[in-house]
Amino acid sequence: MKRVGLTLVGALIFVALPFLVNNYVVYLSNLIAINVILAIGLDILTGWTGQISLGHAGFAAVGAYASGLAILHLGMPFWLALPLAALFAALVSLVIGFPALRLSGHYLALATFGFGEVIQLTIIHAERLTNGPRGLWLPAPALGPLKLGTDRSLYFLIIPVTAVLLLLAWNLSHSGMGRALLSIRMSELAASSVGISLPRYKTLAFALSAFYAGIAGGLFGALVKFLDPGAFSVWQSILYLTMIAVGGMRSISGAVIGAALLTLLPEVLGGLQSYMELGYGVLLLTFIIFIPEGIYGRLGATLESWRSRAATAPSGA
Amino acid sequence: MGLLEAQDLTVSFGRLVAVNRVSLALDQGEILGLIGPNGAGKTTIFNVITGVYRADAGAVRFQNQEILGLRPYQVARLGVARTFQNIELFGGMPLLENVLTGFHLQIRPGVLGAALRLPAPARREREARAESLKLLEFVGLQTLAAQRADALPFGQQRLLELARALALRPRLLLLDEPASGLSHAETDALAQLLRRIRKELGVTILLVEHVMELVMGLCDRIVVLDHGEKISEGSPAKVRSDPRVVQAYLGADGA
Amino acid sequence: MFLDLLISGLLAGSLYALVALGLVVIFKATDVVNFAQGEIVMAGGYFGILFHNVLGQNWIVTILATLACSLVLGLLLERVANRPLMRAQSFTVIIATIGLGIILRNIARIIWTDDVYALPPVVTARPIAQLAGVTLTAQSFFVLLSALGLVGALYGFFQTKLGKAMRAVQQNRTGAELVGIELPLIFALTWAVSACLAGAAGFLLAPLVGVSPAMGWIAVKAFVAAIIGGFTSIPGTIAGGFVVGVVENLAGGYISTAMKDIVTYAILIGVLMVRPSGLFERGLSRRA
Repeated sequence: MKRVGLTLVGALIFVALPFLVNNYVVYLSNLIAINVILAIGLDILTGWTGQISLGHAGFAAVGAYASGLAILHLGMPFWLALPLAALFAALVSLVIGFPALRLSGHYLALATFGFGEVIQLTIIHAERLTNGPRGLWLPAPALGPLKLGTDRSLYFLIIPVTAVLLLLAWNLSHSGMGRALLSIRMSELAASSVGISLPRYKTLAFALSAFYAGIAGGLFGALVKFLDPGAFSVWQSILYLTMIAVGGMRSISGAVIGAALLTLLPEVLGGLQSYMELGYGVLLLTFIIFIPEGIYGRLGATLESWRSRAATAPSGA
Repeated sequence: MGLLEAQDLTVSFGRLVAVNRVSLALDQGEILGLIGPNGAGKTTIFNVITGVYRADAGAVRFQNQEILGLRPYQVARLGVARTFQNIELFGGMPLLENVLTGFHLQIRPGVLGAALRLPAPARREREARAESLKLLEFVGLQTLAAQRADALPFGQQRLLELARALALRPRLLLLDEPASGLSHAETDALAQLLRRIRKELGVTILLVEHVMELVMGLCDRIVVLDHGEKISEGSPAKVRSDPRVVQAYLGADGA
Repeated sequence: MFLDLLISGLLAGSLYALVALGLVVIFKATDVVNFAQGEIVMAGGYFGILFHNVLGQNWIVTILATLACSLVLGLLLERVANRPLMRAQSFTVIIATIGLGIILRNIARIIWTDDVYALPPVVTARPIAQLAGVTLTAQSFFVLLSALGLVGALYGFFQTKLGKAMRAVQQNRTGAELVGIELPLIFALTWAVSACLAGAAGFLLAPLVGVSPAMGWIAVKAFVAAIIGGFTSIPGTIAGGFVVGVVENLAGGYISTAMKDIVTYAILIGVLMVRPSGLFERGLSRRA
């Protein structure tokens, strides 16, 4: 009963919000949602399965450009272009996913970095197709007769999509599959000894994370209506890594917290880009050394210790 | 008929020959002990059988199927489970989840089934959960089911690893120094448990161990390795009095 | 044209090799891959600017000061990134050094902005020789000889008592501890040596490309060189540096400048796909 009530309240807030706040806040909500999708995707690959990836932005780029170009040149409707582009991104991930099976640690980091760079360079140099560094203008997405031109109208597309992807990921994390991925991160030796196929699940993790990134990329294109290869560089990949490092790498909630925080921080603090990036570096360094479980992990641990302290409070022998 | 047959296994690391033409065979229902001084090649043989290491030469047949060269997860699928010398648990997971990973092959989770919470995989998950709890009861850890595995004391971690291995419903169980670090009482309990496993679950056991009282008291047969070669084989009584074995162990935990 | 490209490739390659050696030295001793190496190179460039342009010192002082400052920087980074993470997974260390690199890069951006500063070359680019129709400049000789000299100094250092201790730790950490070698000291030393190499490379690189926060990108080429050397073999790493330098120059000259970068990444991914342990493997791995 409580859950139904909470869901109704949540739904109410969701529907009412864009009409109660100004447009900029709505835009921010959209941006946060897109970053949440990206963070969850990376979390599946890096947080759960332990495959460090410095090329996540590359998958987002594939999703963004594939869906954008499909709409522009093939006249595909948005609702079709988006999932197809994401599937395409998942396919592309196999190119790095297969060789990555034999790599780990810094070799994997370098390979994924190289892969992300190659994608970005390809986009920059395939000028006839992507317009290269000059950027690609995209039309506002249309769902049938509805044109989603404003941030408010996009909100009603982006938030539900994000919610669905969140739910799917949450289900995944609480399933045998999620457990298998986590076990790979914790001990590949033990995981394979109980019959978990490392090649299959590592590749799957890559594909899933690329799919999520692809959706996020496509939605990003719809939101800002302008694609520029510079938005999909290794610095973005590192930013997404920072999101899950700060928020917490093992959980969906951690990814959400990290994405929200790191999207809002620059907006709230403003200032030069170099100060922001410096902040990211500091966050990354401090969290990975001192709070590796992230904000959500730390919250969980704190709650646990309160609970156990309450349970062991002196109340008689 | 032999459950497991290893023939002329040879494994070298560069110029170091760790295992030199070792053959051994296990019958269904046996408990075979593999002993030898440190560095004799015992764990290497385990790693070759389970596909973690490559062998330079030789053959391994499990239930008459050639398994040398298979990947670890493929060997596990055929019904060979193992524990590790340096415990390899999923530390951050609760005990129940650790054992649940052993049911992976039974649950067969797929992406769609998991993401959409389809009824069939969800049911298999529930069933596996119940069976995991039963396995924890079998090894006596059911009260700690929700605790994190890395919070357990050493001896209980070993039991957890055992429970996880049993979740595979293996025909063959490879145990790498399961009694290492255990107290006297814990070792006795372990011996009892292993006998139960053989009797109630019909599992054949290959045991690498240094704790002689466990080996001598539990094993039907023993194979002795030294410097990568088999130097003796037979019943505990025979092996114990074999002069070559005594010499190899010179000063160590002998007879 | 081929000889021209070859020579400029060797020149660039010598610098890549220098930076890559720093990476390999750290990895062999501490099992850490320093993703902030490029930023140390960048720092070397800025130190050069600081002492020569800003403080008006002569070249000898500038060079010595740059090396000294790079050394200190290496010690500092070791304290911050390596020491707290000695027992951590490689995962954690990679992310930590990435964070460090970002911090260093942006400190430079904040202080000096993204502008490119010019550091005049120690030896000017006047032509001094002709080889099969190709003009060799004094500057290229200087860079090449300096790089070779530094590599030679590295080998020489390995013969000293401290150097031998470092090699012992590289080969067998527990063994080295057992014979009484102080690990923290060696770790600090390793990072210091590596930073010296990187800083020197930055100083040599500066007149060629200008000093800016983006200088750190040379690290990518250095990583490829180190990968070719399997992260273990020093001659292999040096060879790797030359390979990257020559191949990218040839690609840039014969195909297009766009290909220069793509070729580097192609080599990177190619080597990792075919032989993850490098082309000069020395490993004894037995994993199936």
